[in-house]
Amino acid sequence: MAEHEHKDEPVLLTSPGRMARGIIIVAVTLAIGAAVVVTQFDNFFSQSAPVTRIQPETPPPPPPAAGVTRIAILAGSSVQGAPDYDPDDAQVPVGNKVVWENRDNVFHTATSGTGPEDAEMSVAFDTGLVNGGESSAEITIDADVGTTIPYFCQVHPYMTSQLTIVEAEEGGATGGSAEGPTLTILAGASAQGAPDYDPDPLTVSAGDVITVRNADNVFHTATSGAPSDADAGQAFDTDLMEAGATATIDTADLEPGEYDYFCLVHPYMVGKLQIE
Amino acid sequence: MWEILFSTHHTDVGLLYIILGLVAFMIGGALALVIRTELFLPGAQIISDPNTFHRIFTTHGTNMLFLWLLPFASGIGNYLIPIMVKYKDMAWPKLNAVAFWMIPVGMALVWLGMADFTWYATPPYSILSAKGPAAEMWIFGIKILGLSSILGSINFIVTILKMKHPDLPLMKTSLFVWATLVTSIMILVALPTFTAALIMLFTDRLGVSGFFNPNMGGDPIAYQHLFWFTFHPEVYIFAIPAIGMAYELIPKFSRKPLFSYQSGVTAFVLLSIVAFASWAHHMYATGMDFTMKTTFMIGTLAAVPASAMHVFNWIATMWGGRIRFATPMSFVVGGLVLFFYAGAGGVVNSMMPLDFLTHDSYWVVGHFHLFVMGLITFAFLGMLHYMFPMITGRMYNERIGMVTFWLLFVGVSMIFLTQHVLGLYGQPRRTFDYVPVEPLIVMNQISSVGAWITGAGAALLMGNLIYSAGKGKPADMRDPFQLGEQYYDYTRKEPHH
Repeated sequence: MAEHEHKDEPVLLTSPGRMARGIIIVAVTLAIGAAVVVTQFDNFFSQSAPVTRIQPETPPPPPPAAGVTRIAILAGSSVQGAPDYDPDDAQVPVGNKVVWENRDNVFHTATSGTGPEDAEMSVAFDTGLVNGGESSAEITIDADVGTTIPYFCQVHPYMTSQLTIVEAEEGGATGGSAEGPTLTILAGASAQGAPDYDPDPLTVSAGDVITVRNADNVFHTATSGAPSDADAGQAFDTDLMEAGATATIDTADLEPGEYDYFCLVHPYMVGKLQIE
Repeated sequence: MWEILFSTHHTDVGLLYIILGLVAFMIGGALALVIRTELFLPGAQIISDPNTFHRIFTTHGTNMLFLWLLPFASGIGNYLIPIMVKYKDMAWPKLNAVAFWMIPVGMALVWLGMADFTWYATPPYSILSAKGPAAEMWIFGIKILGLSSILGSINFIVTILKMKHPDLPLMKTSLFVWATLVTSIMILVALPTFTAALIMLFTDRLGVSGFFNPNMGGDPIAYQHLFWFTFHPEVYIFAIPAIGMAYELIPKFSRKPLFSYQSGVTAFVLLSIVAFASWAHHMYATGMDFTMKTTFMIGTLAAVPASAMHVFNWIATMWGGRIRFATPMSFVVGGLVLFFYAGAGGVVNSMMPLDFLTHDSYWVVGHFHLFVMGLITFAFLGMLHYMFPMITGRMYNERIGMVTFWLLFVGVSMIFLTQHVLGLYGQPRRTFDYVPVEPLIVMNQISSVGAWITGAGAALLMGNLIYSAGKGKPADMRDPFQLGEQYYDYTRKEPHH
């Protein structure tokens, strides 16, 4: 077919029969496809992504340090209607102290009572003015289990919330456990420069058993010393902790004093432990 | 019939590409009609739940881009490139057939699964929430289609550069050859990025990696960069063959030589380069810093002069010509008009401050549809009518051809120009329902009526072509449109003797 004399070639026309055969092939293929789509429509859309089936559930936020319930005053709280105290209805285990962390950039207070008109205002507790970015003192609340105390901000009376005193072991996500001190490796700690160990420094009494909790989604350790030390990990070492795992550090054998520690996986994560 | 299905000859493979493209155009169009009918009124109409709606528009988008635009352009390229470079076939006929036959496999995976994560498959939704196996089917379907594109473009590049007749300089070939060459090179440069991203998406879904999974420290925005690095140039990969077809048709139907060949080549090459400098204009709203946004804004605007060179070239070619507005020419000129609107809207989108108003609204839907349905599909349909005598040996019904053109032109204008305004009124894209206020209802209804008109036009077009292919008047194969021009060599289409 390389070199034809084109002028005399007959013109080949598509015939109706040939066209019909072509259409039948297309139509049958489409009909088979449509049958599969219609019958399998839900089946092909039924399985959740494999990654969600193999990954552990996101670990619940770790309980804050023993005996202290932390309530945040969110950034932007001073805008009327914006979210303000978080959690909004805090469950405070009986005997816990409460600290309000002001994450906003203006003054706020947490003052018991329903508002400025309340005759009982600030009787139960009052943080006084808390600067933006600072935390209140540890407030002791003297109330029975089951009591709900409304409180508000004296500077912005539309910021209102309440807290409830609960049994010590009901603390849950917002309460503190009455057990030993806790060291939390924060979510996102693996990013260089991000907050990592919390609290830092952690102060404990000699003999306390520290619970270390990895709230991040990658492996971490808390290993005594510094990355360059020959005796790193001699004093204490949690070993590799998976995401969400916990480990313990027993301080019974440690001399009182200040200990540096770091993460073997991310050596830029460093913290201090003080034993009194 | 079997000799066509199992053939490796370029006209047979080209015909298969064209038929597959047209089938995809019709069934994807049917989904579009479902979408527009659903949106005729707020609330649920014919689709019971939002997830089904998401699956329908995901399949519609994926289908139209990868199973209508790309295969159709390859089909016309298969028909014409060997003729235009004076070679007996494509460089590797078997590879050509293999590249085609991968497409039905990809098509089956995309259509049977009907994933729901839009044609972007944006993580983290596509990793964590999208339901399988539809999502996996989509990922592998697109993978296969991408591989087919790569094989096809290698074949085109080799055919054009190595199999070209030695006495034919590249600068004397048709601009459609240039369009195909530039497109094929762009596919080779752009596609690997997304090919890698698809694998990463798949392993992320399996949970063995966490590239884009924020739960595992991954960055979903990185996916968007990889995606758009491929798919912004892809916009030009869709458009450049259409522009090449317009260069093929406009001089012939204006009965005048092309105004400037060199500027056409220059604009193709320019467009193919600046296409790679604008991908992040899809991502202004992801929190990029100001310098980056400004850089990509300038990169985007750099595409305007090159596009305008093409448009001026066409206008200057038509100027003073004895234009014959047969169906192919009408489609091309109609596409040119819609291209103006699309381009003007595009300048608004690319302006970073204005983009924040239009981002993810119906404005964007209107804008890109004017490109893909306006310019590209219109040029494709024009070319299809022009090639019709070459493919079938018969002539389509010219009067019905003109009716279909006007139905499509009016319908498409109604749908997509209205959608720009809908976007400015704040209707977000990809919504199953909308706020029942009068302006939104009225504009959605105009848009839906336009869709039905377009659907009627497309059905009439297919009816005309199917009927004429079997029973149409035998065409004058030397000059079927009476333009006093040399038509393509009709004997090429029948190798079986």
